[in-house]
Order: sequence, then C-alpha cells, then structure tokens
Amino acid sequence: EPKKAMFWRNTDEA
Amino acid sequence: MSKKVLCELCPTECLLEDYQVGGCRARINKGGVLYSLVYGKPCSVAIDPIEKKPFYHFLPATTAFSIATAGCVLGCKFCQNWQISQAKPEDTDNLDLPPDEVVRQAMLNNCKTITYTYTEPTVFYEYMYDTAKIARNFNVKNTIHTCGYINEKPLRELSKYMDAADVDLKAFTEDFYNRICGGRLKPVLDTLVTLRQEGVWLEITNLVIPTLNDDAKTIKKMCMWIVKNLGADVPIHFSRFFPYYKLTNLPPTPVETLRDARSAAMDAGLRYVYIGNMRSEAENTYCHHCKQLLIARIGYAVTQNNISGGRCKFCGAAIPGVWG
Repeated sequence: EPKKAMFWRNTDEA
Repeated sequence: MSKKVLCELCPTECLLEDYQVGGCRARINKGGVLYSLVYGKPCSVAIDPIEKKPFYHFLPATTAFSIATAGCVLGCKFCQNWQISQAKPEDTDNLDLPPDEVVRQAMLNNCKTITYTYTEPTVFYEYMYDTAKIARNFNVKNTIHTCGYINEKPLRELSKYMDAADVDLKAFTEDFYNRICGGRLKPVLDTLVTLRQEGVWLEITNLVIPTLNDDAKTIKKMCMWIVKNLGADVPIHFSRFFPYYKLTNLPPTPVETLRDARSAAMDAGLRYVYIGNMRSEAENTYCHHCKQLLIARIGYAVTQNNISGGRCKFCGAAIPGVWG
C-alpha cells in the first residue's frame, strides 16, 4: 500500500 | 483542494503537479496527496562495522545493520554510490522489508545499531522514522549518515529517535555546493547546529577532493567554524577521494594534502581528527589529555581499546562519545 509522506502541504502558488 | 503539493522535507522544496515525482525521485504527488515511493523497499541491505560509517566514537567494534533506498536530495558529481543514489526506485532491485522486519533482522544478527546510510536517508524519511521508533523500543540504537540537506522541522522530529549522526560537510563554500552538488551550504550548517542542540552524537566527514575543496585556508576556516559552533570534541574524518562518477578526471587525493588538512584542523582546535580511506596512524584515537593511544584501528578493525567506562585508562580523562 502506498505510504503517505510526511512534511508537505497543498498550495495554490504558481 | 489544490492538487499541487509543496514538499517541505528538504531545502529544495519541490512544488509538484499531480503525478509529478520530486527531485529526489522518491516522492510522488497523487491527486494532491504526497506519497513515498520507497517505503519498506530498500535496495541495499548489509551488516557493516560501525567504523565504516564512519563512527569512531560510537560503540566501537560493533556492527550496524545498514539500509538504503534509491534516491538522493543532492546530485554530487563525485558520488560513490551513484548507481543507487541517482536512480529511480523502479530502476533498482528492491527488497520488501517493512520497519519491524528491519529491527528483527538487526536483532537476529546481533547488531547494536541500525544505520540509515549509502544514499541519502532523508529521501526515505517515513521508512527511517517508523523503523527508528520501533528500534528504540527494542533498545537498538539508530544512526544516520547524511548530507545534512534537510529542513529543520523534520530533522527535529527525527532527532527524538536518532542516537548518532555522521554528516558529510562536503566543503565550506556555497560555490562548491552549487556547482558540484546542486545544493546549498547554509542548510547543512543549520543541520549540524540543530543536531548538536538536540543532543544527537555528531561526527563530521569531509571528502577532500584535489583542486575543488583542498585549500588549507578554507579547511582551517571550516574547522574554526566547527569549534565555535559545535565544540572542539566533534570528531572529523578527512576522507581520501578516489575518482568516481562524473569526476574521473581528477587523481586520488595526495597523502600530503590529507596530512595538511589534519594539521589545519588540529591548529583550529579540534581534538579528534582522523584520516579515512587510507591506512595510517591517523585512523587511531589518541587521548586529548595525555596523548596516549586509546583505540588502535587497521581499516575498520579495532585492534586495541583503552577506553573504560568512557574514560582514558591512562589518565582518567573523559573521552567524548558513546561507548556502551
């Protein structure tokens, strides 16, 4: 099963 | 929800579109969620002497269960493990070895330590973190050999479970990191300071490469920075360069250059200065107080150990390190 990563965020920056 | 993901693990901070893989080759954005591509999939597993890492002041003459996955956060032109560090995980032969199995194998093989090494452990952060937590519960030590190119927040979280770190301080100029490694120096220096603050036992390795980072003045400046910011007790290993990967045009480091680097480091005030990748008396440990031979080494083999209870057998001085 794929392992969700740590230390990231969604962004709308270009 | 945006499907773009900003990875905040290392200072590169890749901004990833949907289904884009990070520069490290080990993390992918799928539908706005970041996943590890290497969790539980090491491409290298071996049992090494702890001296190979190199750790000279951490449980000498014990063995380390060593693991690595494909990928790296840098792209050093002199990399000695480029076949796996500069590879995608789908291009390497990987084992299925979940964290609990890593710890079990380490204990079965009487390894005191699990070492995250060979490539850059930052790229398999989640795998390393989960393994380190389990290892801590079973009294197996955790050590890391890293380039130090990691952001502060993940580093502080990892430090809770890390017993020792050997950090490659590849040079002391931004130009070298930019041209030769594709990174920056400042985050590596920050990592060194953070590890010291977190109480992780620290050793430093500097690969001395002819014409690129072998200037004695710069080496002395680097060592003075170490003394001022990390202390005189941090062991430093000057490692001999041999032509690899994209730097096959350069010769092996002259022995005299390594001896000059060692002298510069000792002039700067560092107490434990070693030369690696080369047989000499500079792979032994001598007491900083009475100068007696404490640990004699031939390559990775310890032939004599005169440290008892963390102290010099001859004068009783406390020797910095983790001895048992």
